[in-house]
Amino acid sequence: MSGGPAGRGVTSGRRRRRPTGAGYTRGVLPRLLTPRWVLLHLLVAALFVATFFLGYWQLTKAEDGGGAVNWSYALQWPLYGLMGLWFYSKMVRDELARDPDADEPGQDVVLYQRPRIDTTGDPEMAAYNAYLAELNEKALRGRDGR
Amino acid sequence: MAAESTTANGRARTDRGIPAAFTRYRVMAWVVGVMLIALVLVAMPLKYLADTPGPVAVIGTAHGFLYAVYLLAAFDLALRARWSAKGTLLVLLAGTVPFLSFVAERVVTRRTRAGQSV
Repeated sequence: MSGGPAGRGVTSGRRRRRPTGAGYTRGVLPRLLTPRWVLLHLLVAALFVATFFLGYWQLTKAEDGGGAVNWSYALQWPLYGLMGLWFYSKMVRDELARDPDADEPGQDVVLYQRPRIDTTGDPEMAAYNAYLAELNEKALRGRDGR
Repeated sequence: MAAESTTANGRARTDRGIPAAFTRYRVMAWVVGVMLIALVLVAMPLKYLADTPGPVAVIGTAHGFLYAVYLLAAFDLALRARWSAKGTLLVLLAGTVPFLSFVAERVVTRRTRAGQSV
């Protein structure tokens, strides 16, 4: 996000602000109009509206003499709704920024995994696991050098 | 955006901040999970069986706000690790179900450590 007053952070402005040429309009907007995305738009909109009804419901309960929990829930429901909307806008921005030629987004980062060798007490299995761990290590190192 | 971490041999590696986000997610998953159990197994019986509403008022309120933090942590990890929309939604919702939150945390941990998305 470009924080601060207008005029600053010009270069790090929002990614969405691209020249709206024909290529951009044709290439990017239909991505958000596939059946999956349209369904998701509707679902998110419905849930967003629902959180305000739920917050209002808790507010009426609180005003009818409910306790602290109802007051906090009256506040929390709309909070969840707004957070959900914010999450969704990030998802949409990610989708728009995605390189269309790239494969389906997958996770290409492998976290360090504690080697689990010899969990069975079987020496043959332990040797095999050690071999697999070594292969994994090599593969990871190869990718780092990329 | 992507954080740089340094590998054992000193080379910089782009990990998109996943390890840190993963730790934050796990901490929040446990905090929210434990609070939910306390709420359901301790505070609620106290309120409805022993007529002691204090614990529900405290834990219920705190849990609500901590769940918001859990949502932030989980969604941050989901974006960094590029989870599917369905998997993300299920993990976010699992945080509201007693006991299931721990199952979800285990699934996420297993898959993240194996380099798979959720």
